[in-house]
Amino acid sequence: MDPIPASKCHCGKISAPPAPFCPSCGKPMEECLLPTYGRILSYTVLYSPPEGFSSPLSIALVELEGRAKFLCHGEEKGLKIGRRVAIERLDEIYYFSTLSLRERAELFWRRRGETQQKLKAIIRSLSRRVRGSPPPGGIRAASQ
Amino acid sequence: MAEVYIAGVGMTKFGRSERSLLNLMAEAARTALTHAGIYEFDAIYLGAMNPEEFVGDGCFAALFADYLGYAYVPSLRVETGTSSGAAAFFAAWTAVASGHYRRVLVVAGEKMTHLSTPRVAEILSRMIDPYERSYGATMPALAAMVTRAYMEEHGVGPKELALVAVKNHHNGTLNPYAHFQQEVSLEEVMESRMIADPLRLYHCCPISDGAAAALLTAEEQPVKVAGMGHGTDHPALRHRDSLTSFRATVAAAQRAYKMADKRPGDIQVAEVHDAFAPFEIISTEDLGFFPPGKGARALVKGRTALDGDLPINPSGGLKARGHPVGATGLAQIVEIVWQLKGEAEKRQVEARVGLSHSIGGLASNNWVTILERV
Repeated sequence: MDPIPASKCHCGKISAPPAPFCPSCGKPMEECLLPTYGRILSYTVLYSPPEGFSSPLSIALVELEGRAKFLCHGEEKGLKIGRRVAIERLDEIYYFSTLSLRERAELFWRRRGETQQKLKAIIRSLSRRVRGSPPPGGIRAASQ
Repeated sequence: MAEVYIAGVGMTKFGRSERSLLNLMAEAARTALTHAGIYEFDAIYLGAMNPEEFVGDGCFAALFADYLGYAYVPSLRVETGTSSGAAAFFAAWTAVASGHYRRVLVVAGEKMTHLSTPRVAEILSRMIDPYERSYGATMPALAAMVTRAYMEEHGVGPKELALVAVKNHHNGTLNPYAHFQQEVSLEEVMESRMIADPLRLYHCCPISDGAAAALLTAEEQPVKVAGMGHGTDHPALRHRDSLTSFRATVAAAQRAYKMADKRPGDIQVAEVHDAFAPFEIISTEDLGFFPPGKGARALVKGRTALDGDLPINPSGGLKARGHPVGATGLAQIVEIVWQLKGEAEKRQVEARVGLSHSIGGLASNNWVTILERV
């Protein structure tokens, strides 16, 4: 799975998505990449989501490697604080998942968009799916 | 800096109103002037979160000054999201404390109920970090994530959260200015519609119309501003160090206590920003009234009830008094003034020192104000 673009500061702060200046100390940040798995810090299931989203909408705050935190969409099933999740990007939106291949296909099928795009997304997701636990690895520089 | 006193306060009833925002704010202002017996002042400081989108008016301070019949009095608007009323009070306080002005009228209001709930939610969500908003995060969604993390960290259950609403609705029955003036039962709260798990409808404050006002002066009066503090934090939840405590409240409180030379134990009554029920519990901890994780226990034991040792939200809070966003921060101060002056009628508590706490955005721009009877 593609690593997650982020930025890091000398003060230790990591921002995902990347930010030009450190939100904590104001210094310029350097781009970096984060591995695509983390741990659920908190979550909600929203029953009155804003326009453009379908209900129920599951949103989780996931802690990535290096204490960077990140909002993702996902499936209601498997929501639990502390649970490890894989993160995957589809059409600029990040999804967390503890799901099987079939459940994952169903999740993407229910997204908004044209049928053809949905099918493409599912095929990409299935073909990219790495079985077993995610590979070990910390924060990598973007140039690597 | 000179001492600053509150000569008079006023507010409209909060709730649904057919009247214009200008009209509501003028009523609050006229009431405050009458309460003070003062009709001449040097400036108008106005708090409103978003009159451009809520009612379609701009350059709002000038429109208001003209409407009130004081077009020649300098007027300006101050905005910090949902805490704009407290921000306007702060700006007015600095103007009087510095000696730049002698008397300043502070007025704050919002009109929201004429719009659909999704439209109001959309306008409120403009306070959210744009990236998090792009994921469908609304104010209730982010508040729900804070709540979930708090419940997990401190072992607090849905019953404790619901008790905030039960208490504040009870207080609202004693407040003729409250949006809701009826009791709710624990069961009604716990069985109300789920909005953003674990937050249910009755954990959330209503959408309201209303206005509040205060006249600040350098001339000695029975109630003075003892201290004020402003605290901020990242709007983005993902950049916060803690989910279960609001840095913006802690920072604002430290500054206010220091300026007032008070400690949390000196506070005898407080108005706290309970836009979502668990925020009252978290805020009573952040303000130093109770240790982290112990706010819920204090609530369950009745310590924060009207007859408790530290009454919290005698007005009914945002939950029952209502939340016309820009007005709330000032309405809280109005309630504390009434409490300190013995003018709170059926909900009167015994207090000489009171505190009000206002949250802007999802606790990214907060204010703490300490008032004292002279």
